[in-house]
Amino acid sequence: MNIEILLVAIFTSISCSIIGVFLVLRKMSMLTDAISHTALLGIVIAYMFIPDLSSPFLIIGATIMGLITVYLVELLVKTKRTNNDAATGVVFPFLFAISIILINTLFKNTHLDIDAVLLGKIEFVVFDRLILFGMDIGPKSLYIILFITILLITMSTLFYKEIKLVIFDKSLAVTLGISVTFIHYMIITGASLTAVAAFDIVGSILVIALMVGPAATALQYSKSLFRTLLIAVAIGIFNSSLGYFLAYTFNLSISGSISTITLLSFLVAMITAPSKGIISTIMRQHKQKNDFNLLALLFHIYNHSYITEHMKPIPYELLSVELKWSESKFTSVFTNAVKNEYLKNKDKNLQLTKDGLDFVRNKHYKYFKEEIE
Amino acid sequence: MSDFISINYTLIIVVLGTMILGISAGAIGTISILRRQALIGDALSHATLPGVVLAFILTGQKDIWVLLCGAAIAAVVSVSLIALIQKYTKIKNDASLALILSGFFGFGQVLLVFVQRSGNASQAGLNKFIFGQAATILRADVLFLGIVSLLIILLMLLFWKEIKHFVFNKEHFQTLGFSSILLNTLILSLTILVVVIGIRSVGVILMSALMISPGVASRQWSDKLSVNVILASLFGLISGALGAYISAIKASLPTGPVVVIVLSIIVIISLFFSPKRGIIYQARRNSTYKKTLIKYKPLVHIYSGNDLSILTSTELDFLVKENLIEGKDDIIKITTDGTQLLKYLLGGIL
Amino acid sequence: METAIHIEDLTVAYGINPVLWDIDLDIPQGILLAIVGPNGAGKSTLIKSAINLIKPISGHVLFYSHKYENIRKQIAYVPQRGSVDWDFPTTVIDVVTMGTYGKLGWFKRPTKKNIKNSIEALKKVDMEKYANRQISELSGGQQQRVFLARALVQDANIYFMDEPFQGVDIKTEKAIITLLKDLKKQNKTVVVVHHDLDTVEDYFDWVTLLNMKVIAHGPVAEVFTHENIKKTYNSNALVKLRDDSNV
Ligand SMILES: Nc1ncnc2c1ncn2[C@@H]1O[C@H](COP(=O)(O)OP(=O)(O)OP(=O)(O)O)[C@@H](O)[C@H]1O
Ligand SMILES: [Mg+2]
Repeated sequence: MNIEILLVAIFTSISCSIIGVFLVLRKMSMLTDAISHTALLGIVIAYMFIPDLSSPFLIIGATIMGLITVYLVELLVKTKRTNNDAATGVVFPFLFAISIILINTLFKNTHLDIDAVLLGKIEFVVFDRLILFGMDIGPKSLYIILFITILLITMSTLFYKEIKLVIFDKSLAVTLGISVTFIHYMIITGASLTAVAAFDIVGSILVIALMVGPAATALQYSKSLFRTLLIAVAIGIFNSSLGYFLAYTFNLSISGSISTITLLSFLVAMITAPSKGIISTIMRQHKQKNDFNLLALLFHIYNHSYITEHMKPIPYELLSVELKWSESKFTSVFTNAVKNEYLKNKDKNLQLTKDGLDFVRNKHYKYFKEEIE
Repeated sequence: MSDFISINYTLIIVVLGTMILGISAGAIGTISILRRQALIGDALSHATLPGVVLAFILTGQKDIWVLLCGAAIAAVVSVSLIALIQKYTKIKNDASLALILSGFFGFGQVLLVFVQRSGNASQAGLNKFIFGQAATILRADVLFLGIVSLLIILLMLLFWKEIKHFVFNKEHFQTLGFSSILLNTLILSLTILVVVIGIRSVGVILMSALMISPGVASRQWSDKLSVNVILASLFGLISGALGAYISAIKASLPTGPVVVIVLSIIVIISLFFSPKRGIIYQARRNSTYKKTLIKYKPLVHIYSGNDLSILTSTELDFLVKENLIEGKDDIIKITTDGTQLLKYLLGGIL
Repeated sequence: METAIHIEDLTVAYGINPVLWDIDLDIPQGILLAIVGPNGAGKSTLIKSAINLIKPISGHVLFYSHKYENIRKQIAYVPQRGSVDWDFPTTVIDVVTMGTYGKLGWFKRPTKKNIKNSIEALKKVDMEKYANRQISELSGGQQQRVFLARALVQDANIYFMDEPFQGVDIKTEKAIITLLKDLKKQNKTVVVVHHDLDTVEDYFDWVTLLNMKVIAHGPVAEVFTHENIKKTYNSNALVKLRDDSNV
């Protein structure tokens, strides 16, 4: 295993996860798709002025193009002529198409390789070294992505509460005097910068997985923004480590493997997460249904014997007739009630126990928000 | 000039193919946009990759039918997963699209490595499958595109009333006893069909543009769904034909991007210059309104029955001069012109 | 009585559709004011343009003779429901504490004291047992209470509330109105968009009848007359214009 590649993958994941949480919550997931494609145009334009593929100006050009992309999409939405995703779908193919045409006409013979843009080249990051004072201190990409990670952590620490407020409740943010525009474009700049650095490493399509996946997964587990961020970062690290490990072991495409794992980990979370997962949702619904049937049965007895008939037990036959349930349903709910000792069955005359009475009172309050004696 | 004939022949084929695709993508894309699922085409076209590669791995054939089937199956699986995510999580629609798009595409990359390793040289061709090359459209493809597009259009015509109702108000549609699941499936199937036949010819990026831009452009010209769909098809057709033609006569320009540019120009023109909804028309209308409103505010004061003492005599003289009011025995009466102007100011209707 | 809110010559239009006409209002300090009018009368628009969320065509609004930007921290606004993302990962106590963000300013974190205030506010709306719930797990009325608590911690002098009683049961409604009366006792000014004509007299001491323009404005006892109400709910400037096209 190559520790340098692993580190690059991990830090790419961390930065993507952080910014991804904000983007997903801000309903801008597909904008990552747009930015990671249009960044190419920024690179091409910057390259027209500074024909050096390793120049940092290319990153700046790409980041600015990301901002322009978002700005154009918002401009379209603001005219109320289209909704957000249609606007995205209009703007980014346009900018991407321009870049492909520019590459095809002006830079046919240079190394601006479109395949590399779409698929990334994490396998090769180790060959591009950062040499400081004649000393090789590691791959360049690692330092770039490390820098961005630190930048994002600083940004989200300093502006945590502002970001939270702007995403959650824009109108309150405005009335409290927080500049929504500033926070918004700060997030977009962060996203753009991250997307640019990351797509150079994992490719423009897999950037989307790294940004959206951990965030969506973390949202299955968490009920606070801060925890969502922490969990997303943890999941991002897990996904990229496992993805790289599998890719290394079975000799697969690293970025492909990471994004496959990202999707899988989301699906696992969707199914198994406590309280929000599919399994627990279904179980909860099932339990609720049981509860409800039980309540219906016991409440009927309660009404009958406590309200109308002064503590007199109700005959089994009468109950089963009055409830109008199917035979099998009645038997199963009834057995359940007796098993839980909510009911006393004396010669087919039924009476609530103290537990049964408590159950009726509690559940009735829970479902109908109404106290009963 | 010697190969003019052959260029011409290829040209016709390519133009025809892109044109036909433009028609069906424009039509079904308009429906997707109105359902707020504009980017589904983008997601699906990426998500077909693992299907294509898997079909190749399993059958060892590069037969077009086999690969198309693989693509279609992958698309169906991804649509189902998206539906599942929508049903069971609170993840927003765009996030689930993004997840599926990238996850499936990544899985496709992983599978591609397997193909590569098995030493099969045709791997490059598989990759091209979803990035598309319009210049490689063949006569047989055009026939195929034509048949499938015809099928799509026929189905849309057949279920037109239902589609319209469903898109407009799903809940109400259901209450009338129609199956919303059925219609949803129909629309998604048509979408998948277009994507699957389209990507190989024009590639993923153009595919999503072809499904979105015509719909956005046509929306600016009419509020009627049928007109929208027809116009969108027309825009798809025009840009497909024009784009393919331009790129064919200037070889350095790849077809896909040129078509996208033509589409974008159509969108820009529609946004700015369409009557009634156009940005320019509306901006001018709003600013004229605002200016008129400020200028003739005293008239509204009079109409509203407000205290007239706040009006200066210059203001009153101005209104009289403009023939908007007339004074008779200390009673101010609004003239027909004045009423007309008030209607404009208060009703927003000229 | 000092004037808390002074609205002068306010005219608002969306595109070419006029919504508010020449609104002139003086709202004294320390009153509980209801804004009443039919759907689409411009009630929400009036509030939004008062706090600069919408740009008017003409006119201005002053708070204690100050422009809104300079006195923003003294003004709290509770929007009509549905303006936030209910699936956002945040808890009740967290949402309430957001009310303090304005006074905290950039970079600073909410302190223990802020959190304590938030819990106090939650107690006032009888929601403290839900403090650690995620907001999506609350009922509509409970969500409304949380937003009210958030407005309380803002500790403002002027409150704007857009239909706080919407979708709320009678118990909650009573609880909210008690709170609003408390605010009034502290000499704060509370402006509430209200829909239920039957309760105006019980709940409020001033009322503004609005339908594109101000039909009547003043103490409830004086202006909340049958005739004014009828005028508000029947008169639509445009309809009137069409009926007798020569005024
Ligand atoms: N963003 C907007 N764009 C265009 N028109 C709008 C917009 N917001 C409101 N309107 C229109 O302005 C008018 C007044 O709206 P407003 O929301 O102020 O009414 P309201 O009195 O609060 O009504 P409700 O009782 O339904 O809340 C309505 O006719 C509405 O259609
Ligand atoms: Mg309103």
